Amino acid sequence: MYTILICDDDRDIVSALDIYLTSEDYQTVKAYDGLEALKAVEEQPVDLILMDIMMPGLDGIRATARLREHCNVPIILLTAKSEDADKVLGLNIGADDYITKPFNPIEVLARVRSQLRRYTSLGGKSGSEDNTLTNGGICLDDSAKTVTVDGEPVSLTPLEYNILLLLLKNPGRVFSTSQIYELVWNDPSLGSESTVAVHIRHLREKIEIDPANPQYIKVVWGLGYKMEKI
Amino acid sequence: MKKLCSRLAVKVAAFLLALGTGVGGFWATLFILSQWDTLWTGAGYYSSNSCAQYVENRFLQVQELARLLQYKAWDASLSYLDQQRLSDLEYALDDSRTNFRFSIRRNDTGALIYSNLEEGAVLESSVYAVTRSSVPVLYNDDVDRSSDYYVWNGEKQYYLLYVILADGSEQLLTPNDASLAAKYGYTFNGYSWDYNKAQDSRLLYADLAVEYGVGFPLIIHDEFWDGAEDFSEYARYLPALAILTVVLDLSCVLLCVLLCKVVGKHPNGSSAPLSRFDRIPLDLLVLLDLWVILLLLVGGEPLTEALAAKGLSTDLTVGLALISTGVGLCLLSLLLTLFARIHTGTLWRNTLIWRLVQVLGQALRCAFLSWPLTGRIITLFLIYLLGSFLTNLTVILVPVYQGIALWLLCRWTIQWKRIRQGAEHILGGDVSFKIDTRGMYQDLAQHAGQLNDLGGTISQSVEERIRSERFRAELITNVSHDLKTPLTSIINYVDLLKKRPIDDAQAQSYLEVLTRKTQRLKKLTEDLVEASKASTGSLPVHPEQLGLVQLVQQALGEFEDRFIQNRLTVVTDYPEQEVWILADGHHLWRVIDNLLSNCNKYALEGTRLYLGITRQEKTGVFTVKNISRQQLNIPPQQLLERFVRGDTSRTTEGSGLGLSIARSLTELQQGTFSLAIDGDLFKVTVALPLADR
Repeated sequence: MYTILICDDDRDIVSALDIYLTSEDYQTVKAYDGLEALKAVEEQPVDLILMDIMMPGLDGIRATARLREHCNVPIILLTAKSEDADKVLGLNIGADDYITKPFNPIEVLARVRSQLRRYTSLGGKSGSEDNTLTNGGICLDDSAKTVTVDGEPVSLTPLEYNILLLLLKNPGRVFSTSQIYELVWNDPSLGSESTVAVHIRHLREKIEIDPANPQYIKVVWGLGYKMEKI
Repeated sequence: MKKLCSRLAVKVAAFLLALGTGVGGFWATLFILSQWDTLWTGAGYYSSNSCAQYVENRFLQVQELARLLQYKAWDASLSYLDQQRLSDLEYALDDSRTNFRFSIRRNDTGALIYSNLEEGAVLESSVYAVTRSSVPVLYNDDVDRSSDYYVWNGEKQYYLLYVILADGSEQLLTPNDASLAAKYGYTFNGYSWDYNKAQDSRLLYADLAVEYGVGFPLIIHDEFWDGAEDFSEYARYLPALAILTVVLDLSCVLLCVLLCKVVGKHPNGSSAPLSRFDRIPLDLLVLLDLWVILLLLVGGEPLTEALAAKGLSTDLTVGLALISTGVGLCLLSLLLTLFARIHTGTLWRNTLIWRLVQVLGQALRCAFLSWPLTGRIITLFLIYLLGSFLTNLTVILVPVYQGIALWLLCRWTIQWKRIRQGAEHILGGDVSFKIDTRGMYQDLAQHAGQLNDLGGTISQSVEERIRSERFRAELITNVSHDLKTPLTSIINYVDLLKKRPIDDAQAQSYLEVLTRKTQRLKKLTEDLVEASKASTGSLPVHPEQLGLVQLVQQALGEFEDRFIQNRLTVVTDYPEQEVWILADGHHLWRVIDNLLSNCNKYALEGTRLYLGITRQEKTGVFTVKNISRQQLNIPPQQLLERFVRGDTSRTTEGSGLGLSIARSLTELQQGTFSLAIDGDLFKVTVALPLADR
């Protein structure tokens, strides 16, 4: 049973989130501005915080900065600002993730689950075996040929599996479609690169919470794909 | 305020002090200068002014004595008054009553006539310094010699001289009567008569010599004795007085300099508003001042005369002090107002002459400028011709005159060039450029001013447009931002509602509509923000080197499933080599994303999509061609406008912002974006700069 603090100045959004979260068996605490959020965190232990940025009094960015002074619970920012600069600022200040408004309730739940798993199992079961590759919530066991994301098993096709393996082995490195084709298909690429793009999109849809805003397999437009190191 | 008051008080005090020290210093200096020799040579009383004054008086007495003695020598019968006067003088000049020593001699023979020296004493050894002076004595000088007259005898070529005798009768003399004429002092020089007073027997004339001096040492108790005592008394104070004089003069000068510095200036350094006095025209003020000073000096003349004659008295002191204070006041105030005017820069401007010149100049200018330009040019040319003619008379002036004419022409040319350059600047887009109109000829300055105004108007309207554009963008961002929050609630609650057990199939279908429309609304707000940001250029762009082919392939990977759904076949035409371009990958993805989803939305089902990449001279070009599902009867340009869609019924999904965003983003990356419609064929061309490889 996890306790989640929901903080937004729009009461309807708070109660909607409350409904979703309680239906997933989370306990919730509500706050309607930054100061209330700080007070709530002091009064009782929480496991995750959903925080709006634009709030009267103390805004989400400042509240996050204050919270980070003494606790490391996951913080997910809810923001109507979709500017990149705002996202970067939020993440730099200590937030773990962000969701832009208007959000999809399913996405919120997925991100909450992901953050909670990572928070609670942090350092718990890192791949001690040689054949296990992990990055963030992704865990690939090459000997068992299984992949889990935030603990949930994911079923992949052999090609998808091989692409993920290639990317996981070289986190941060950018592979072009032809390189991936040559390395995974073991054939010279002769104009069939868009196949790679399709497979990668399918792979993203399976392991990413929001495939349009991938967390792990990033598209480097015009250059290729890479596994983001987390 | 208090500070100002105190400053004003200080100024007034300084002014009064300067006036006082000035007047005091003036008189003290005058006095000290009159005592110059005494002070510096230490000659003492004998060379002092007061001694000289007494000597002068005594000499006058001796002169009179000598005259009376000579009269007596000529004619013993002196009048009673003269006899009395003679004895008085002899008494006064007796050696027992004065230190003044003198002797009277004949100037021609040197024979002694009278002396108050002791028997056998020599004048030189008994006085401090000897002064010698000749004293001519005339008797019967009252005969009206001036009534002698000449007559010109034209026939015989000589003058006739009529001499008036003492009894009033006339005597006629001719040049032949030389001996008789000589008796009256006349000699004929062959042309006219010369006259010698000493030879005129009608007059008695004697030339006497007087030698005199003040006895040394002083032994008799007379005015010299008293003077010497006074002198020794005040000579002691003379050095102190001299120092005082210097102090007075110096402090006066110092105060004047100080006052000159502060006058007309504010305590904080800026120029103060001028007082009413400082606003009187300067030339008028100077004339008035000089007139007053003249009046005072003329009024003071009798006083100085009296001073010279009788020495100082209380009345004189008061009078002279008043007059000198008046003069000092005039001079000092004139000096201060001069400096006040200099400091405020109104020295010349605030004069009647300046104003007169100004008014005349203005009138002439107005009259001249009211003529048409051609008339003015002709007038100027005529003036130039006249000038040439006049200077031709004095050859040396010709180069000067022509030089000036050339200089004026060159100035005109330079100014004209300045205007042309300014116009070029404004045309070149630098609308805030201002042509410097200082020192320009009137007509050119006017023209330049108009150009400046034009530039100003343009820049103003451009600024206004930018401002309104930016304002609109901000408005859109803010509004969509405010839309997002309620939208979030709507999406969430619709979703929650869907999860409630609802049996009514109708209600279920309504909920589906709600879900669709909220998703559509979400997409619209997102596109709206993006479009406003892209079109105002407020998006940051990070151009990198990237492969166009690679990017298109990646994008196709994202769209493959959707194309299959709509039964669209993709036909690609790529070059074998990668086309490296300089663009922001993220933005370019948005462009291609928009284009491909446009195809997905508007292309006729079952048709082919043609994607082509070609390399041109300096650009990599990406083209998309598809067959439109609807009839496209809109000009391409209009399709690029925001919120315009190919289907006028607007039933399909899409915000109508896609193409507009794509174009804005392409242009942000220094690319070009063009549309072509040929029947149902819809073609988009995106060209981006090639990277240097």
